[in-house]
Amino acid sequence: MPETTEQVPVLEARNLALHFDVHVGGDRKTIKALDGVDLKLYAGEIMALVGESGSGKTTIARVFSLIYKQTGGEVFFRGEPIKVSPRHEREYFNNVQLIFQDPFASLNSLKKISYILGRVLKIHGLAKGRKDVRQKSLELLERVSMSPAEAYIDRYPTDLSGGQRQRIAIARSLAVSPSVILADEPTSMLDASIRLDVLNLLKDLREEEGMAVMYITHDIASARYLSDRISVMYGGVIVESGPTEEVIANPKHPYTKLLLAAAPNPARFKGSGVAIPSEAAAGTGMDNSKTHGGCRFAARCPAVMDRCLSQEPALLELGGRQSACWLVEDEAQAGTSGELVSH
Amino acid sequence: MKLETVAEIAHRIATSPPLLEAKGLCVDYVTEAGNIRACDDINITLHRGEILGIAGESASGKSTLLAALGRLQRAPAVTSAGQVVFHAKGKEPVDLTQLSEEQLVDYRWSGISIVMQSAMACLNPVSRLKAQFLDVLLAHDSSLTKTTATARAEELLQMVGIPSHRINAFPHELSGGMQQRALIALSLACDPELVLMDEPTTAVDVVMQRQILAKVLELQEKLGFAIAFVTHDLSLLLEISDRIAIMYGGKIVEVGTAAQMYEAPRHPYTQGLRNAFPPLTEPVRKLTGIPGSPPNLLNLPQGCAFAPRCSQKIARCESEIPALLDIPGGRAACHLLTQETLEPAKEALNA
Repeated sequence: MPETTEQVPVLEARNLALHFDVHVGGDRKTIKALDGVDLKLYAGEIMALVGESGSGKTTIARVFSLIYKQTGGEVFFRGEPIKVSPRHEREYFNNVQLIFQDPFASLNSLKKISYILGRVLKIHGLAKGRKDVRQKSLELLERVSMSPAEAYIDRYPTDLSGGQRQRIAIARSLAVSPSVILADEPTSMLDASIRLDVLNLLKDLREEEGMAVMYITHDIASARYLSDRISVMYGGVIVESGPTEEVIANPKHPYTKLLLAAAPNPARFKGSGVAIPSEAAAGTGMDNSKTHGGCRFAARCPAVMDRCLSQEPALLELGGRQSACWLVEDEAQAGTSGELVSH
Repeated sequence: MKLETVAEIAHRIATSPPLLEAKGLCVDYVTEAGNIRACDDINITLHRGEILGIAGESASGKSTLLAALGRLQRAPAVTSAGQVVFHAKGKEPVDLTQLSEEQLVDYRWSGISIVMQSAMACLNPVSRLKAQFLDVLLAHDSSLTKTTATARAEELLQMVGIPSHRINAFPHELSGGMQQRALIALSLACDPELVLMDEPTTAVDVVMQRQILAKVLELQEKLGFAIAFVTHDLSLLLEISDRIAIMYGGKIVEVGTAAQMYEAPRHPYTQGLRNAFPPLTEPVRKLTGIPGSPPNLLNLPQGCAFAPRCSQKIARCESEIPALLDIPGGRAACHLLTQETLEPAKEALNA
């Protein structure tokens, strides 16, 4: 968002890399889950991180939630490098919270909702005494529209549907009043009809409380619905980013085009006479352990040129958005000389 | 791939003979708390070469229905009433519910096969693909030798885009998408007339989903088998299905062509589903989804199961279960439609 570029981002990654050394049957391999990611998340914005399995999108969330330690580059919180020590971590988690993909696995099914929510409040010293904890837990449930809260607080997660469980997981992350929520595919385990509920909840939280949300998904339609900005990942790097509507309406990178073509689009219902673009069904994800000479996407790209095989394109500036593709190089230069019309 | 118009699809279905008919099919789960009726009075006909989509939320009974159609349900699920009539090529129609396990063997794989959701859980993790393919092929075609069966297995793998040398791979050596495609190849091993697909793409990402679907549609066009495709994702079904059946609370609440479901869904629940996915090309507006949660099958409301969540309900909805009635372009079970479409028609008859 142009008006926020002057601010300090709440979360920032500079040249972030995470390489896993693995042993497979005696072979040593390095899997480059992240290979030089620059990313900024500003207060009060929803940024979507989209890409297919293995593109590194979840890894970013895990680095930001201190589950993984990066092997290269730096991560910043409000302009300060993120420190990892028990004391700093607690303070950091007071501000940054992660919501997991699977609400059937992320909630302890042996504990009541009151325990699940109350534990966070106690650990972070946000409520003292049983009454206060319960009162605050009830408020949390109300905030995620689980009302009447009294009807839910003494139940077990197993009594609840998937959508309700994900609400509990969100309520738990709200306990510390975070300024950032990292939502790692929060709707992919849910029924299509319930997904909207969770998306609307995240949207409301941003609007009412000014929370920043990093929304990770492979469903580009939901990313369009929810986010202000979109970053498309492929093979451990960001290949395209920009304001959501511009990226969706006018994708520059062939990989973004592929993602859009692959997404189910009901407007192409059978009998409508609209064919599914053929590029949608091409190729498989990138093997992050192999070295690549040029562009990571070259092997699958329908518009591949000689140059793509030998030279890796950097993210080129295109009037408020970026794309890492040699095809847009000319346009990028036009953009810097002011010929590119932006709206 | 050829693109058919709405009229061509309707004509193709109307002229194609029936392949599988469910008549008054009921499936119960027997539990200590009482019988749970997961499928209640299901009547639907699947035609030869048709792709029928079955959509609904979790616990709507859609997977149970699919298992019952293939006679694959296990205790505590029991088919408590109704018939599943299968019209195999060159044979008399037969009610599958009346057959013993031994008699059913004749219809398994060669008549009806199934593709499950989790490929990793369906393929045997400790045996190579080759062994699993030979198992099926040799059991169902006594004319095959090991050599010819292996050649057939390689051909099947190639058909779904897996190089034939991978036949010696263990399932874990394949990617998730490849496993799913191997399972699809296996389901086609004995040239079935009907393939049941239970959320075959739910566990993979959109790009892989698209690849699998493209493969399935290509093979379907080439080989002409019928598909019953179950998923909760209506947007996906709209793209691939000839007709779509919507399930809610164990009942079919609406059946119609993909065009009908996209342009003018009649049942309020279908309308809710139709508006529950964010658009990719249309302008973004605030969507609400369907409020509330799916009904508890042990404690269904007295009237329409959808009434507690329905924004258009009338008094009658809470007392009387609506029947699945013919409407222009399909069938739907909603009191609003009986008032609108049928009563004026009756008046016209009386006049």
